[in-house]
Amino acid sequence: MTTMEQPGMAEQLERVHVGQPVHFELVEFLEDEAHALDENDLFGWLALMAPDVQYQMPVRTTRDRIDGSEFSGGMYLFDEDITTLGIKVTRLAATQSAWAEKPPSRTRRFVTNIRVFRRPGEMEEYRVTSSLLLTRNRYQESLLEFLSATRDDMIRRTEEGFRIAARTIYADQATIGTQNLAIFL
Amino acid sequence: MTAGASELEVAVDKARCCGYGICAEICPDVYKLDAQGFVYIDGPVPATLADAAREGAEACPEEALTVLEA
Amino acid sequence: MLLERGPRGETGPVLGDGTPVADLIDFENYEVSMRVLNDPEIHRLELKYLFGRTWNLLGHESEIPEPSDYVMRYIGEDPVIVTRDREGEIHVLLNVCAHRGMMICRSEGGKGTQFRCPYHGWTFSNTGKFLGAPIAAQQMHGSIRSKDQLGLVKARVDTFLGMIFATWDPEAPSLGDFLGDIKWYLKLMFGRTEDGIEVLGPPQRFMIKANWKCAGEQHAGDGYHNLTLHQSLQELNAMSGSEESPVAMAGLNISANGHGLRCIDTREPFINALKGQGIDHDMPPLEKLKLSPPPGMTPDQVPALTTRFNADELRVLADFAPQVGGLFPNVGTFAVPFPMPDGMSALLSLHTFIPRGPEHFEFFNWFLVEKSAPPEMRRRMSRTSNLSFGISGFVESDDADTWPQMTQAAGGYLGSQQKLRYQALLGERKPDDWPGGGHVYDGFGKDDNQWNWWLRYADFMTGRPW
Repeated sequence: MTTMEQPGMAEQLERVHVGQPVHFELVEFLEDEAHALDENDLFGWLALMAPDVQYQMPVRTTRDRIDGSEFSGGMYLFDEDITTLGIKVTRLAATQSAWAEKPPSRTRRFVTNIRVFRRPGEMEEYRVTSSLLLTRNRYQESLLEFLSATRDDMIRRTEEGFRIAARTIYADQATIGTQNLAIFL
Repeated sequence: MTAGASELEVAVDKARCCGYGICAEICPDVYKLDAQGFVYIDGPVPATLADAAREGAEACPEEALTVLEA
Repeated sequence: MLLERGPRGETGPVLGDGTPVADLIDFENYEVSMRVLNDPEIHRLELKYLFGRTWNLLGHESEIPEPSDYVMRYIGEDPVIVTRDREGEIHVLLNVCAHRGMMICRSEGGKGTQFRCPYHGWTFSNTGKFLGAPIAAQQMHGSIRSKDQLGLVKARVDTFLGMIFATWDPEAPSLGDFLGDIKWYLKLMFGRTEDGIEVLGPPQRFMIKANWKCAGEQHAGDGYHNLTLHQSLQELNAMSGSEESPVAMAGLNISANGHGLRCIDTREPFINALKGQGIDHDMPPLEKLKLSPPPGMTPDQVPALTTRFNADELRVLADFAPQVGGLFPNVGTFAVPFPMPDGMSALLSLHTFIPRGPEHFEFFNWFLVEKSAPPEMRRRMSRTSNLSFGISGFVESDDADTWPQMTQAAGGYLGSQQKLRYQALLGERKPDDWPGGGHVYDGFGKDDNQWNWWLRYADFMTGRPW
């Protein structure tokens, strides 16, 4: 009933190395994306999603190696398409009652270890993996909360610029150490 | 070391055996323990003991016993 | 007539400063001392008097479908291994080695007929039996205790509608008696089809810096917070009501043995997606259900409901279905029709709130579907569930920001002396034709269910749970 999937690295895809122009472009894109989220420009962030986006974060469970991948193939912490992302963003950015982020969390996203691979096909699409370290702080709490994860993205070049067509977020925790995910990763 | 002619053979990996003795508890007629408490099989596995022998092999925490079906 | 309760003349345990536990609940004024939300002593007493005696929800049968499957969960702060043996029986074993106290199983789930402690190799079957230790000839378990005495500690196990419960208390009544009249309603939520329901996968797990009771007592029946904390349901135009008929406040609160549910009156749709759908007030229940199937079901599954439910039950399912609730002490239960921009959808969910000290709890959240749900429906329900509930759900993410602040307030000198108040009481009102049992409160959802939850808490904490 539950299948476990491996967050595999791209084996046969053509590597786009640091120094190649499109690598720089994608680094800039991811940094701009993180900036939009840290600055609470949620509608600006939403605009970076492709209309067919699939945005998922599978549940992670501690497993022995022989029992397969720790990531679930059926249960998620985020399981979004453009519609549900739109609803969440609208609520946070345009209603009076998004109490979870009222006042807003102070977040900082450190996006690193960016690896780029060219996907085959007619559309110009890249598989981009990156590490995310997110710090989060609310109210008068003196300690920062941390969330660490890797993101496995499919990023597509369109006439309007790059768009995220798919993102899968693989957390480094089985029990998430923050009270909600009213923030995006 | 394998058992002789019967429907069942059991392979013993002596290096893995830790002397739990669970196999001997489940099927003492097949699994014998030497002076140090490690397992050996000294004869063929009779067909009548096949089920117990399988259970004994499966019970080994070290997976030292492998049932080789005929 | 309200559920009458006064002090039973028993104080229960006495705290270090001389306060009897019974005094934490003011039976005359319907108030609870906020001290209970942030006190290490009370927390330790709960582990013994409450979690040590109640039936605890650990998971769902569909998480361990095959023999030798297991998951690792918690009763209070005790880790337990939930296994299915060769014969298909479920066992709940304390995950503490009988030898020197190591946690034997450190994986949250998998397959295994045996568990071998990594410290000295003591091995236990998945029924908890001590199988042996290395070098049997040396008899490293000694001769003071026989092997029979050295198995893993076992809890009593039972299931209801696939939910796996366990208790340490040999004197606890059966699970059926513990659940009591709430079972009738749970069947309307989770027992609607022959095949039953199953989890989408392992539960979400996340930490909340709050006392578990903030969530526990809320789920017993706090409908009132829907209007304010979950105002975004109206701001997003998903639901709309009026001053006379506020969103989802009409219906019946059901309370039994401390468990609670809200049966929401859906004769007058407040979900905008359902308005103008031709769902008529006076339609026969089955016709209504075909137009607006129960959460997680498709219209073609509706006729089969008549094989499982009688006419009274179908009427309740169509007009007053139980949608949200909680089981005493730390469980949330949900079967909620939920609108999406392209039409109606639904979610099925279970929660448990596992204490991690007085100021933290771990939130376990399962999303479920009917086993017979087609793949497209599973995907749709997963998106709907994650949109609204759980760690990233826009409804429940707001709750997660209230509980920590109550807990923090309860840590102060004056804060701990303040009160949780349950003084808006409807009183029992049961319609003559209401087929369900339990204490029934027909009308605007008030504090009755939650007060009953605290009465049950007082029973346990003063040592008189059964």
